[in-house]
Amino acid sequence: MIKENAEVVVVGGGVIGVSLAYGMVKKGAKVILIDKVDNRLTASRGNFGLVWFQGKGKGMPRYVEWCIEAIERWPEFAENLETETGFNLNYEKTGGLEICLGEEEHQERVNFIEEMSQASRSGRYDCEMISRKELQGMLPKIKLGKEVSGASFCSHDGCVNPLILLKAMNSSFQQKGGSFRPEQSVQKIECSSNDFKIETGTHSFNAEKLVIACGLMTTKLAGMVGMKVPVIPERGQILVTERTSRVFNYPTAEIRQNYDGSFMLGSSHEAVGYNIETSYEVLQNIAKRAIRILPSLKNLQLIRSWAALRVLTPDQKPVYLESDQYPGAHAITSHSGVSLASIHSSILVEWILEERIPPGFTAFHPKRFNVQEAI
Amino acid sequence: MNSIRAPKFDYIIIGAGPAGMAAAITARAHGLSVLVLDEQPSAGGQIFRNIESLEATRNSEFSKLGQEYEFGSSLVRRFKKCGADYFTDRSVWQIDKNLQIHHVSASASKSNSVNSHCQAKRLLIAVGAMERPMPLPGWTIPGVMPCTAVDVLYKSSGLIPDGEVVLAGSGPLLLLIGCRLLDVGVHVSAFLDTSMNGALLKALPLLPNALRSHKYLTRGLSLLWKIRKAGIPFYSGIQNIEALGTSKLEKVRIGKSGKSFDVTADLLLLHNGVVPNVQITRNLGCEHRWYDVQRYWEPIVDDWGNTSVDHVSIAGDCGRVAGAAISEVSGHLAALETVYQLGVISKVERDNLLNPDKEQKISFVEKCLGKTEGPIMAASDYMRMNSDQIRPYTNKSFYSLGTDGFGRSDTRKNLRKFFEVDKEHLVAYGLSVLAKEQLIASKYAKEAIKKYNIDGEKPMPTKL
Amino acid sequence: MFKKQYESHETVSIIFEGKNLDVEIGQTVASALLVGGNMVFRSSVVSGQPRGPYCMMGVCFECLLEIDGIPNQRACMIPVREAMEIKRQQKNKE
Repeated sequence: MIKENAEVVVVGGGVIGVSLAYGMVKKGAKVILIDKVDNRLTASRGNFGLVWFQGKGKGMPRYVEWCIEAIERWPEFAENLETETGFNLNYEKTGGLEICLGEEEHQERVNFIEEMSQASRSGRYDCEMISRKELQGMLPKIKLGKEVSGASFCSHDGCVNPLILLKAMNSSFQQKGGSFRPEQSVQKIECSSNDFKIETGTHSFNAEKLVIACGLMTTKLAGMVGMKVPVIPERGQILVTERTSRVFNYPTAEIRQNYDGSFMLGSSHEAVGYNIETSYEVLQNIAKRAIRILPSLKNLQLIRSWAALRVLTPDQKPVYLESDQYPGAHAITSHSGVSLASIHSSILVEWILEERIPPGFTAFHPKRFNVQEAI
Repeated sequence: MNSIRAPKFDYIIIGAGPAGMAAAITARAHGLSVLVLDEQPSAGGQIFRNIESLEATRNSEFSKLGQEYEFGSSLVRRFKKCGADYFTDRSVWQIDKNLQIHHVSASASKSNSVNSHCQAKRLLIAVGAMERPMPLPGWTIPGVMPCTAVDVLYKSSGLIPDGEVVLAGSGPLLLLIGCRLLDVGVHVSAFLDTSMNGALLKALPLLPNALRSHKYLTRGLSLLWKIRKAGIPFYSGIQNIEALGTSKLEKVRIGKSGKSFDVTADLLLLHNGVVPNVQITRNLGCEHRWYDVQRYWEPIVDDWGNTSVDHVSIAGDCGRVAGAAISEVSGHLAALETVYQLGVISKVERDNLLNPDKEQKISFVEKCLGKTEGPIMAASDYMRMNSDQIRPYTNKSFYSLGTDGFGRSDTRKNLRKFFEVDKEHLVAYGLSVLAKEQLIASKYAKEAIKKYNIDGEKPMPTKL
Repeated sequence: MFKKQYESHETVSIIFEGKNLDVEIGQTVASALLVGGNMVFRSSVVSGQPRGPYCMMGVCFECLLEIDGIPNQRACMIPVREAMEIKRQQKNKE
């Protein structure tokens, strides 16, 4: 058994784990990041790369504020990473759209935006409805489908290359002295009064603090240190087209055109357990909807498709938890690991390292899922 | 619109090269329903590209391509006759884990454009190999191509390069193509060998093994000799290659030993080995491993080509790159495995088919009945074909009696009497069979028929 | 760039960039154009650089042309047909 020590061990090399580890070494902590590394496409690699705000946080105003703050930190966060590593994240903060087809969708969106604005405590829910005419005016190089009835637009939204983001954070983490240990799968966690011993098949890692951020495995590992964190998988499928000239400059949650010209089309939300196969019917539906929005997409060749699993808590909002039974052990899980990377690597790191609890933090406690426990 | 609807098949094969064709032939010989899907407009894969047309319309060149080609031609003929469903111009784009296969026209043909799908019990991937891409500055300029591209153009369209040709890379295929070009009078203005200095030294320990396949060694050496003898400038230990030109290739800049010089070129042919096309196996989630000797990823398979995914096997160069002859054998093996897995042949039969030189194994039935003499008669309260299943394994004359047909079955006794499988009939039939085979005198059979009142005029119950 | 090694057989007439070309049947569009000395099939969407056929076997997607109004067709996979209209792909239609 190879023994290694650190101040913090982070379990999980996906976008959340890496952003936490990166933030911690920037604060000078000695961190070991371990990752199982299987070849399956995880949420961190299979996502749409949106840095997104509109549409999030319904029912949890605290989360809405959290998202705005994350987005506002993103440009500086991206710039730092690019300077530190030389990688180009291709972060584009152009503002984002949710395009509606037909009157019903349009009305639903109007209602949604209205609700969110009213619920926003700071009054800062900058998302507005735009008409079909305005939308077409924003997209001079491509014609909208007949059924497009309008869209919601949010100036905060943007997109990034999630693969390069992951790589850049990991690279900077290691450059700043972090230890990355791939192909390590946690078998056992031993807790004593002042530290944690994490055993994999080949290594034994000792640390004062433990951070569990390993996606779908979070429930199991968090359970080993006295925390109940429910997560379930939800499948999403994506289609990628060939490259073409750049005509669509605003991402939506279903269509984005990358900087190299290829279109990415989504999305689906399927409860199929741990299945990451693509399915003809779903891909067909994705393609059909995309063509209704932008008919000329019909001529593009599709070159790739994939499916990956989102990691969702019961209300799809983050869980940030420190163990009562074993203080020093933390569990972090969230959808939107990409959008929140800026805030995970800063404010959450302060919570973990310096015990600086952000205001309203109890909103993210998982006791909210079990009404009885909350009482 | 032509809709290709091909519902269920026992065996679906992707690829009509040597491996795919051999597999189809073998599978069909055992009675499986077979569908072959291929992107190209005619069968043959890469090596036997356009072979039917070549033989028919360009026979003088066809015969120059040698014995291998005759071989390929016969394979294609047998494939076309074997009774497999064969669709050209089909590109497979999606395969579900339950082996539903989606395909579209490879040429985006309007008349053929419908997405079709079909269902396989077992799937064979025989999609072959491709050139290992050799990126270098300027490689996207029109006029830079992999060396096999000229092979394709020659076979499909009878085209040869016109102008100055530079060959660059390493590997025997480059030498072969170089020699072929010389044979047809193409002007090769330089041969750039990019194999690393010291590669020969590293290869020396392998020499004893290599000498055992000396035919290949001498062939390689003779190709090399031919190129040198033709006076083609031959540069080894090349460190840099750059293709230059505005709208098309004009020259190649060569860097060697710290110096650089230019060679005029209209066509730069690159080669850096051939790698298996693992797109489909990757998409299916088959396990792969790195093959260090040839430096590529290959799917992990057993001796029969079975991958790590159930019911999916591979054959030919999309596994380990080894050429047409071996591809054909691997297709044959994969098909036999499928025939076995689908329960059409027994394990013993499969093993025996593959080892014609070795002592043939015998089946369990043979072991039990092998030492008996004389005919075998099987009687069943069930249908005759139930007993008939072991007929081929007994290697003796075999008679089966059973109760297929309409008739009395109110009691077992009546059933047996009606269908002539009661003990009286069995005795009578048994004696008749023995008499027929002249093992006893026929009078004994006649006696039994009379004794048990067996009515020979009665219509045969199983025919009712 | 490429020439025929032997006498042409039956031909068909195709139209490339507005000009008529007599090409032998049984060839692909890519090889037919190469005989005529046409090496540039399109320009790269990202860089604008000229691109032409590369692998000739359908795996590289470099030889894309617009054929009979449908863009993004692999010229090396499509046999020539009488009156086929072929255009270079400068920019994908939107």
